[in-house]
This record gives sequence, C-alpha cells and structure tokens, in this order.
Amino acid sequence: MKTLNNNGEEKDQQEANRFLYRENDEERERGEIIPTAITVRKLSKSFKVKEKRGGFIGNLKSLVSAKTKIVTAVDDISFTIKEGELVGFIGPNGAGKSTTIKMLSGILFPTKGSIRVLNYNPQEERIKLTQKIGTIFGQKQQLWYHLPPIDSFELFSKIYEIDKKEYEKRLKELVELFEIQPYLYTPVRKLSLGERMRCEFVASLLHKPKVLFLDEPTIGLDIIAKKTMREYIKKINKKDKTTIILTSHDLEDIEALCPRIIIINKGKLLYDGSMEKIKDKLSWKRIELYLDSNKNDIPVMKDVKIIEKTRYKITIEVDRKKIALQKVLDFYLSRLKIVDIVIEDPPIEKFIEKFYGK
Amino acid sequence: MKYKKYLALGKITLLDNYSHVADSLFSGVFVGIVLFIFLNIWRAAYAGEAAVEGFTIVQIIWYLALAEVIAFASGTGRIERLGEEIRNGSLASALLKPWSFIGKELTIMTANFISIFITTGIIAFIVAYFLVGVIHISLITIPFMLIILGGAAILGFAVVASFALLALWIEDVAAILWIYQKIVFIAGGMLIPLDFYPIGVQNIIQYLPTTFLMYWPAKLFVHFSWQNFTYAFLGQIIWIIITGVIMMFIYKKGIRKVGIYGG
Repeated sequence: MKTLNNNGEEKDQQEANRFLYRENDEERERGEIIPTAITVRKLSKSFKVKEKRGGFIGNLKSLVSAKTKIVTAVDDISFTIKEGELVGFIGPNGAGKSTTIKMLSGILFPTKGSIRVLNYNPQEERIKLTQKIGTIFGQKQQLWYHLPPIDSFELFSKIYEIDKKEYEKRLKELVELFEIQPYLYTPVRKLSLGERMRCEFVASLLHKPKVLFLDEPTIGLDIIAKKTMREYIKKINKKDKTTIILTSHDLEDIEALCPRIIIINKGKLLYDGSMEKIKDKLSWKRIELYLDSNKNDIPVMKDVKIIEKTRYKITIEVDRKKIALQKVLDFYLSRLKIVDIVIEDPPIEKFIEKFYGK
Repeated sequence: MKYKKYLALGKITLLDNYSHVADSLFSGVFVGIVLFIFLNIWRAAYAGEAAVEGFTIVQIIWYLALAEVIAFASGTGRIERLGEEIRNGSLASALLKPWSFIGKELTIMTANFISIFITTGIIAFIVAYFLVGVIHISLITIPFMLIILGGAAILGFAVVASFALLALWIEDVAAILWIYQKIVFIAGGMLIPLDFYPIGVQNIIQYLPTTFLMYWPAKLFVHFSWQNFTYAFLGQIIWIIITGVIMMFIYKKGIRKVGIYGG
C-alpha cells in the first residue's frame, strides 16, 4: 500500500498501515474470518484555506500577499465497520462527516492515515471500488433530469456492466421494493422529491453494492416520506446485508435506523458505540408555541424549561423521559390561546453539548 | 465490454439533448439569425467581386456557416458547467462511478457536438442556401470531411476540457472562457478565413490549435484538396496529442487537490 501523507509524517503513516495489517493478520492467524467492510486508522484531512482581508484596500493587499491557514476537517480518527452493519455518522455542520465519507469513497485524498474499504485502497483503486459501493447524496442527483428514470437505470446497468438478465431481475426486485412502478416512465423533473429519492435509491442499488454511503438521504422530505424512506433503508440493510453508513442532521433518522453511531465534532471522533447507550440523551424535544396575542404571565410546568419568550412565541424544552409530550401540550393548550405548534429535535450542537456537558 | 458504458452514455446524452427540442431549436434559430446578419454583411463586402483571396461569395458564405456551426457545437459552455459542478460538489457523483472521468467527459462532449451540429447545421445550411444557393462539393470528399470534423470534435474537447479542469485549481473559470472565445473568434477563422489576414499574422496563427478546430474543416468543405486534407489531418493529430497530454496532466494533478465543496 502506498503512503498517503504529504507532510513528511511517515512514521504515523507507517504505524497506521502496520495497525491495519496487524489486525487482519491476527484474525487470520486465529482462523477467524470476521468480515470487515471498512477500516480507518489515524485518518486526518487538512485543507489550505485562503484568508482575505476585508474592504477594498484589504482585498488589494490580499492580491499581493495572500494569507493561508490550515483547516483540519478530520483529525486523527480511527474505526472499523463490519459487513452488514448500519452505522449512523452524526455531527453538526462542518464536523467532518462528509469529508470522511468522501475519503472513504475515494474522491478526497487524506492528509494522513490509511483507509481500506472492502479491502481496497479507495484513493489508489477508486474505479474498482466504485463497482462495489453505492452512494446517495440527498442534495445531488444522479438521474437524468429530463428523462424518465428507466433510461437512467438502463445507463447504470451498462456503466456497472450488469448482465442483461441479472439487470432485469434486479430492477424488478427494486421496483417492487421501492414501489416506483408508476413513475418509471415519467421524466424525473416531474417527480416529487420523495418519488425522486426512491428512484435515486434504485439507481444506486442496481449493482448490489456491498457498502452504501447515504449522505443526508432524507433532507427536504416531509414526515411521511421520511418514514417511508427509513423503512426502505431498513429493508435493504436486512435483505442484501448491505453495509450502510448514514450521515444525517435528523436525529430521528439515526435513532430509527442505526444500532451503532459514530459522533464526530470539529473533526474529532467523540463517540463510537451503541445507540442504546445514549438513547436517553435523545429524549429532549424543543416545542415552539405560537400565541394569538401577547401574554406576559406564562404558566410554568415542572420538568419543562422555558428557553425563549417573545411577544407571540414561547420556546420550551421537554425531557420526554420525565414527562410525556401529550401532557405538556394539554397543559399549554388548556391555558393559552395557541395558533400554531412546532415540535422539533434540539439542534445537533445542543445534543452534543448535553451529551458531553460542554 | 468497457466501451459499451460509453456508448450507452453517448446514447442517453443524445436522448437528453433531443428531449427538450425547444431549447435546441431556439439555439438553432439564434445561430440562423446571427448568420443571416453576418452573411449579409459579407455579401455587401463582396459588392460584385467574383472572388477575394481565392473565395467566391458562395464559398465564403458556406465557409462561415460551417465555421459558426462548429463553434457552437464545440461547446465552450462545458467550461462553465464543469466549473459549476466542481463548485457545487456535483463532481462527486461523477467520480463515484466505475468509468474514466475523462472518457465520460469526452463521450458527453462528442454526443453534444453531434446533436448541436445537426440542429444548428440544418438551420445554418438553410440560411446559407437561401442567401447564395447550393455549394457544389464532391461526394467522395464527404468521408474525409467527416474524419476532419471528428478530429475537430476531439481537439475541441481536449482544449475545452483543459480549460474547464482549471476549475480544480481556481474558483472561477469565466474569465478563461471569455479569453478562449475571443481567441477562437479571431484566430480560429470564425470571423474571417485566415487567408484574409496579412501574411505576418497568418504565419503566426496558422499553427494554433484553434485553426485546426474551425478554419481547416470549413475551408476543406468549400475548397477540398488532398494536400490541405493531409496538412489538416496531421495538424489535428499533433494538437490532439499535445492538448491531450496537457489535459491529463491538469486532471491528474487537480483531482488530488480537489476539495469537493460542501464536504
């Protein structure tokens, strides 16, 4: 395996490589075959970012003497993922989730560390690896916008060199699984986001990928479509034993799908373990109550924290372990004239803050 | 087996281009209007002269019609689109498929070249026909013309892709696109055939790749000779190799430092 560092830190690199092989060798020596889909050792990624001074003069100065700073997007993380696992990869914006996923899939080059995905080096063997993995980026589409999905599926069958009979069989299976028969011949531009995402899944699964990277697959979907999408993700994980790495801002996605989660923040790995262990930390809900008139005396309820109060809006936080949401809503609905209610998860930053107490 | 994926990609690109016929027709009509104005100016410039610099009025009009069509079909818009794909992160989807990225780009641009050539070509040739009538060409030269047109498409791809891939290094390639379009317009033989320039200028620009992109295919179309064909063919091969090497160098270097914005 070639070293991937570019900062002269060959020692770290060699150590990471030794670790990688030592683990596999030990397993082999013990005669155990533990199928590992992904191994990441001491992985780091830094970007050089240009800094510009503000204002006209500042911009002119930047042209002559440009300042750069090094931003570390991923900082020395290690983990392994076994075949068939469904792992949630969470963290706030800029945490380094997508950068890690892009390094795992081979399109970004690490600054330090080593990666093996299905025993391939993603950077050196990207084209071979892409034959075995699937990716869905919630905000990017791979289907041809003006054409019906069936045309894109045909193209992907050729790109992935799928035998015609095998393709027809697989397509039939996936069309039934994702219930997309009615949209097969409708141009993609005329599909709703939920329908399009289902077709995106079919496109990514035609070649039976062993590892599936899902980057915000439910972004922009309504509650029902999200729920349906989660069911599909569960089904493919169960049916094909596909290893799935899911990144999402939506903690409900992660809670509903992932037995194991990896939390990453500011490039560092904060937690790698079971969902069960931290599930109680996800019991918080944030509720926004919109009032029809300004009210100064807000009724106080035990175990309910008032976060913010403006003229026509009250924001409260509720710990569902201590008190049922229904009870809280009944309490406020009976005492205030409420015109609208929004219930949401606390932002992921808050969750991490609560989890680590910082 | 490998070539089948590129054939399928070429097929779907053509399908996609013809799925929104109105857009294609609109650009074809636009070319028609530009040509109509442009060619009328040339007709006035000839003012009864039988031939200028070896071109009759019929030849110059058909020359310009073909040069204009090649310019449109060469797809400089790809420079902007690829820059945009790099900026918004769509590049990731393309890199996550089991194909050669350069092969995929070549296929898309060739398919675009063919579809735009057909759409704008029909309209441009109709305009030229109504202005000066039919041009007489020898049927035996058509296969050789197609070879030179194919060479122009591949050379156009290598030049445009080299500029477009600079987006892996710099944020905005719009300025490069602007400069390239002007060079093509003046030094590619799109404004006037090279023969109309002073000898000194001709001696410089005749070796540029843009000359083999537009001037030679259009000149051979109206003025075919075996000597010119050999010169144009060899020139295209040499420039395809040079620009191809430059393009691969930019790609190999650039792809290692790509940030994939939004990551």
